[in-house]
Amino acid sequence: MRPSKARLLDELRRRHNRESASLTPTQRIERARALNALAASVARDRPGRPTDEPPQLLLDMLAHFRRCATRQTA
Amino acid sequence: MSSPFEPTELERLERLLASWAKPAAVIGGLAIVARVRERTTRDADVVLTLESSRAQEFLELAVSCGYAYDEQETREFLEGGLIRLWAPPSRAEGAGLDILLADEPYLVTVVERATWVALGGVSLPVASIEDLVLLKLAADRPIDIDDVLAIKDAFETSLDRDYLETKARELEILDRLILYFGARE
Repeated sequence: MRPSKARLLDELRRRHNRESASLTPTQRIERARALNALAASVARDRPGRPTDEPPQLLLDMLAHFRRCATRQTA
Repeated sequence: MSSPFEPTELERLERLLASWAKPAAVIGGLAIVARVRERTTRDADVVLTLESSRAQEFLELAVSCGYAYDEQETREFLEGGLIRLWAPPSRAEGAGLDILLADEPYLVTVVERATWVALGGVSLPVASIEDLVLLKLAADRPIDIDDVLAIKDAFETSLDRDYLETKARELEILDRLILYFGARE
């Protein structure tokens, strides 16, 4: 895990708790969405979590490189 | 869970690549560990000079090094340029090894630009920092962007921006490169 990201998450959570009452509903939803995305990213970085490329991602990348090469030579 | 990338697994990978004796480049998480930072990875990804017509020969060599594979899956994925192997004791517990065939111009360049890096008592050909940036931008998952930012933190001033921009344009990911590294004057 990148320590800076975990610290940022803590800071954003504290700020959200401080400011939550003064936010509009739209702002509250947007802030919560951002916090959830960051928390998910931090969780993904924990040691022991698999981070490996699934086969479909690799196949998609290979296909993309081939399409680009075809377009380059067209 | 066992730790797949113990020295014995790196030695197995080194032995396979040395036995095949064709240019290769480690990419993915293991390359990031070798060149940039510590992070978790349970498999190795390698771009390899290998014509699909010689896949059976390569698979036999991999088995002699202790790797296993699934025949039906191999037939399906080979068409897309991918071979999936795994080391003992089993697919679930052993280290995975994904082989990407260098069968189009960009991956041939990745292999050509790879340099040898010492890691865990072995020496492996590892993709250049610039190619790791491009491959990570192409994959574009949160963990990949984390890796891109880690590379930026450590190597921003020494990156070959001409190469990065030329290849990013060819691979149609120039917008992503500029998003994370900024546009040059």
